Amino acid sequence: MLKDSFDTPRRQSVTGTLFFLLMSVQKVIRMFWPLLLLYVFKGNASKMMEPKWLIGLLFLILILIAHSILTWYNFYFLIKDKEFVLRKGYLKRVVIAIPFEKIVSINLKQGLIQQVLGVVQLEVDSAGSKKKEVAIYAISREIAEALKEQLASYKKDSSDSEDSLIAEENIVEQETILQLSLKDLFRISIAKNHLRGLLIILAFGNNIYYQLKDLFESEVNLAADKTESFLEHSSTLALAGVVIFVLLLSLIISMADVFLRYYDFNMKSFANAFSLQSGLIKRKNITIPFSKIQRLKRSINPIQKWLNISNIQLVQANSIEVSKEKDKVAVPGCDDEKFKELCDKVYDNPFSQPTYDTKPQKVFLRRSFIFLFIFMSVPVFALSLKFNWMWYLEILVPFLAAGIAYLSYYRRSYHLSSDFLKINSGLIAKDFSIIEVYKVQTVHIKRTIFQRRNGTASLDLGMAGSVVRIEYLSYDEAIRMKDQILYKIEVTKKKWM
Amino acid sequence: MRKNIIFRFELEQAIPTHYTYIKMTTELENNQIWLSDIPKGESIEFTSLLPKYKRLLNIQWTTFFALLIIALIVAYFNFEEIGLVWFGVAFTLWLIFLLIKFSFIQLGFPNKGYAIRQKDLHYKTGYLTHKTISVPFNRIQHVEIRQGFISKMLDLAVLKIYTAGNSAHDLSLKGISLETAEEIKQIITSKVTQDA
Repeated sequence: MLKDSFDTPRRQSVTGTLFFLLMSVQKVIRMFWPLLLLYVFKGNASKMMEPKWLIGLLFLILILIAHSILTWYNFYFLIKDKEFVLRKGYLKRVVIAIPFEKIVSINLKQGLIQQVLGVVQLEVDSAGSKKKEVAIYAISREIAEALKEQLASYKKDSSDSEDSLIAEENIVEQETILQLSLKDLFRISIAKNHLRGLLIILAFGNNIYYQLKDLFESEVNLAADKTESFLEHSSTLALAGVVIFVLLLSLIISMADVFLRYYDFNMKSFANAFSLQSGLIKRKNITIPFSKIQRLKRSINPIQKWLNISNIQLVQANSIEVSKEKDKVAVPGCDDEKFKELCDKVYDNPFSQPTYDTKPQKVFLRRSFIFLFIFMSVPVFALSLKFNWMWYLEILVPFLAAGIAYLSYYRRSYHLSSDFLKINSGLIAKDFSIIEVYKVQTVHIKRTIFQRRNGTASLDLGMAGSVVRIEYLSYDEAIRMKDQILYKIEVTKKKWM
Repeated sequence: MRKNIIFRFELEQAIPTHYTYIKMTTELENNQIWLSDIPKGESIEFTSLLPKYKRLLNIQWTTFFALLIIALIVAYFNFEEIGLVWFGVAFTLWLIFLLIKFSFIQLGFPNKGYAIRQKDLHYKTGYLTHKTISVPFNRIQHVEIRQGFISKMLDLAVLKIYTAGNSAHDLSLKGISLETAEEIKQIITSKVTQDA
């Protein structure tokens, strides 16, 4: 059909102007709503009727109309040289070109405004782009369907193979890797980071406090005063009671969280994908092809070590197809053996290659000590202006800072082999990450003015879904590592997702 | 792990450099690449940015600081509560920031540059912190050319390169002419389709 060829630049439907107008009105209202509220509630609404305000409003409306017409007029889309091209902007000209192979998915959407106007929105997701960046906001459904078909036709070969890949999995026998019993869940919840539970309590408590305060201002103040005086006059026993109560509460919260999320957790492996099922009320079902795993993280805190369990996180490629929440898939309660098994499933012999082992330079220790010292001293000083006894805490600060700095230095080490990069880090918990070198997307090398003086550098490896930081290597080492990683990326023909 | 340490020890004795880890322990015929054989990052020659870009930066920041000082003066004359002292403090801060910013622009400019190799693209920037960003062509998702109002007049453009990595770590190639931007874009797209 000639009508559906997209070789020449096309504009959106004319109704698109209306859509842009409504969107910008919405934006303006969103920007100024506190101001509007102020006017309405302060009884100054009549002031708005004054000529100077009306003229201003008229002016604003005219600008908005001009803006939406210009936006529409300067918005083109076309297909050229196997690329999907968007040209937009009148003050700032933007040209976006996406090669077909990079398109991950094409979505048609229809918001409320678009429904009324009888147009649809076409979004092209290309793994690297932000969600709203590559979108046509207002085109008729037929054109959208045709465009989608054209874009998808080039993509077909790759998606076909992926479909067959999943179909293949069903034929190959499944193997259950991990199943969590109630006992396991209980162990997991004990070893959880209860700080999170505490924060939830605090957040809720604060929220409830403020809401109550709004409703019964005086009563709450009275109650607050009472508790304050109670706290001041009560014995240490009562205080200990409060602490134990809070701890118990946070344990219960962690437990509820774990049970809701991981009840009847079930992890199966197919030929080239994992499938996970879990959840008490809402069953979650996730399938992750091995190739999409960008990073495998493991963390063990002291309690987990004692119970011989660990938390494993699989970081997936961050495309919009997979929502943010699903990007990081947690596998709780793995022991050492299960962890090895998992690694061997995902990667090809990750532990047998000889590695080049390195650590941050000693300067890192000094830097983090100084940083932590200052970082912790500031609140102590600030508080000591109010409470005199806080001064004594300052004595503890250098020791604490030294301890933390040493731990983080001691825990940190990097191991590069020809295919893998393994990173140990962590403070109280022991963290371990393993990535495949060729899945790195960008390599940054950074040297602050201090680092230049002491001959160190830091590497940032941009991955899909996360950033891997390698800090305070000697400059030589960093450069060599960078060259090695770039080389590996450039010679590997395998797809990174 | 222990085996590796022993192995490294042996190699270190044999060859007086410790970058020998890439060879396999037992099967030396396994074609692993030595670090010394691969393209070196240090040897890259960077092309400096157009001097016009410095002008653009100067214009942009001058407007910014001008607006700031206007706001400051208007505030001073409109509100009685702001004493001369506070105005003086604000003004000094403004002056300090202005001086720092402009000296950084002048001093940092020679350090900016880009380089294109056969398989990757590099951009370096920064005055206090030197940063070099490297993006292999086969990891580029898509490219974008941006032109602001002033840069349009100066015939400058920004080439934004998107990868699947963290968006904060994407590469923006600034301070090149629109023509160069189109050219580089052409190179990138041809490489990307070639690889796929």
